[in-house]
Amino acid sequence: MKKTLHALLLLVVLAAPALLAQDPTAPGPFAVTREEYNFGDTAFTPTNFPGPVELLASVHHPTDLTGGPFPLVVFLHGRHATCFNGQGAAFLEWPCSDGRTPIPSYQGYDYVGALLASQGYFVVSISANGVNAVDNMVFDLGALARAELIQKHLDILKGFTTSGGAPFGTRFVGKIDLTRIGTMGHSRGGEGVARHFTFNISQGSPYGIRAVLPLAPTDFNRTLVNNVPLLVMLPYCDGDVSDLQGIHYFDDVRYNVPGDPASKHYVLVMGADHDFFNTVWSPSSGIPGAADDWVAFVPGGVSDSFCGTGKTSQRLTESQQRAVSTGFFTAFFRTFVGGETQFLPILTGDAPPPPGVTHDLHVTFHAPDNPLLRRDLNRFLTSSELSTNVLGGAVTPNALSPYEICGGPSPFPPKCIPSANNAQQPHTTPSARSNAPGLSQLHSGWTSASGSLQDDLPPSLRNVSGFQAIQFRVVVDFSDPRNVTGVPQDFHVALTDTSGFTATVAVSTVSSALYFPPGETIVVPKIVLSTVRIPLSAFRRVNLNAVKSVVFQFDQKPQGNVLVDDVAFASAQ
Amino acid sequence: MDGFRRVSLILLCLAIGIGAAYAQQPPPALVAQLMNAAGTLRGEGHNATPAGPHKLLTWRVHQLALPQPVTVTINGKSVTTSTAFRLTVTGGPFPARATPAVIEIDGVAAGVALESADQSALRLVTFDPALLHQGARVTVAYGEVRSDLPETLNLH
Repeated sequence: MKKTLHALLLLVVLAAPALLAQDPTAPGPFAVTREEYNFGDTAFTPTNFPGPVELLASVHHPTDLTGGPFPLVVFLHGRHATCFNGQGAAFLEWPCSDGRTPIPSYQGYDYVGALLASQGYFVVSISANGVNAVDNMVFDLGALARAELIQKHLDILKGFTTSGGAPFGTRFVGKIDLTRIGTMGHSRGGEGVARHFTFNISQGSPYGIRAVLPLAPTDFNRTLVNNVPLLVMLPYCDGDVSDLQGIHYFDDVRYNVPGDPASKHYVLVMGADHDFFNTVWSPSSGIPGAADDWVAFVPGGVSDSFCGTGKTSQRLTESQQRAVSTGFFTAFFRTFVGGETQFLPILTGDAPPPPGVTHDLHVTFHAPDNPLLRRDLNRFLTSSELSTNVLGGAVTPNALSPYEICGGPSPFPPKCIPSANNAQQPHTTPSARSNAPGLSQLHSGWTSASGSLQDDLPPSLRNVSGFQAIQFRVVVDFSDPRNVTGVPQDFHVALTDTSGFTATVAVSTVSSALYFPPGETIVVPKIVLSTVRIPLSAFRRVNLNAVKSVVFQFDQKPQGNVLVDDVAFASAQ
Repeated sequence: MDGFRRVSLILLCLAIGIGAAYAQQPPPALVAQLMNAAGTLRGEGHNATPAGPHKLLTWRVHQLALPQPVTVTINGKSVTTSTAFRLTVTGGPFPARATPAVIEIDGVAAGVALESADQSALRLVTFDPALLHQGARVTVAYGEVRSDLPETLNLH
């Protein structure tokens, strides 16, 4: 009975933020107008780029512009075929030859563009077929060209909102707020918005980029996106960028800039593929070039138990997948461009996803580098952190094997699971155009319920009452037979105060991050760390003004093996 | 060679490759021009049976005369040359996608290929006269998924 009551109380505590989080996907009050501008297929040539690029974009905006200026969200699609013909064939060329029609990849996000416009945003989606046609011929694979293309469109929009211009005349004058901009790029477009963020800075920051969202992105060049809110969306069943290399955007900037004021996020969307986020790339569009990339690009993928198409498949449909992008795009941009804080719990994982969005996803959150918002306990960046944590407290492993750091720069092993391929280990997958190392993480296993890992807090840093949660990233090592295939792991997190009182919380009661990574075909299962955030209020009766240790007690399963990183006390705001 | 040493060697090669590649890139406009330029056929295969997950068929190598000499970095050395070579691998289709098609020669990444307009071929331009050598094994790799050409290069 007492146990039940405790569980009930814990549920109430954990559910509280969920009650506060509203639905960011609810249509807003504005009627929406969709228009386009088109200055021609060859109107722009990026620097040192071997082909012309079109200046074409769609614009969704509130029909009634009297309330402007409105914040701006910019979309950039990724690499895809550029043209098609009446016989159902797709082509890669630019401009399209006679008799062939451009593939309107930029229209593939209209479903969320229209929604954001109803909520009071200008949404501009840029066409980049000219980049796609030849970007494999430039060393950075088109990253700078895409960045320059975005900047060119921002220059065009600046003209619209200052003096006006064709085709809109003066209707947009004073209506677009270029100090409040969010960018979303899909696939190579994701690398494009990352590169654009740094390019805009290199130009003197003429535009105010407030939030950057790479969706299933490439990260060939390891661009560092510092000092801006970041949300990376990663589809587990991505058949194209199957190594989920875009996770580097998050990993690389966690501790890169002291005082970085921006929070960082990623969402691992189980059952999602690469293409379904774009309606034009999805099979239901009927447009040549559309595909289910998992089936098209992963040999044998159709029979994978998780990502395949059989009875056990957990794949999302096109509409289910787009519900995910709709939910997180709106939550992210409304939070960090629009300044609506009520959606932040969705982005930290404290609240469930918006209504209609699958719950089979894992949200990861890294708090800003602000001592009021984050107190790092163990980053596992150096071997010394195996014995002394960031705060200077002792780190004490008990009955753990392995107990080692893997995945970071030399001398650590570059991969945490030598037997698994790169696509199965996104945090350490190499980059095509950079030799930056992967993520250093703790590899830790146990063979008895006495296994534990204790982090002590020094006396001067034991008051953690100002933080919302103790959090860390974790994933189950699928390659170790001590983890039972298909069965989630679990362990306790214990906080002990200076009076000796200890309270524990089982990870499984607050998070699904200890799932056993599913699938068995070439690029899955995967190792992707996910955040576990345990509200400090869940550690009932512990004196949060005087916490002397945090212990991972591996006592819920007789044996196991997990990768762990980024242990911290943290708050979202 | 154990797994760790193999991975270390691959990373070392990658690092060297990246460093070398950054050193001196040929002008993209020249590479674009050479993708379709006429040249001297140095050899071609004849396989007609699709091979591997990418259904590779066969290959062609053209030698290309440059309009003017260019200086590029080959194996860490700065070299001025008036000749380039184009490898064409047929099969597929090779749809445009985010992950690039990498051509490997004898198991070592030689470069990113560009898909032909109709997606039936991949093309790679190199300025290294030793890369496309007699008996070379050609592989197409998209990340973890690889296909080997059934024929080795046979040049004349």
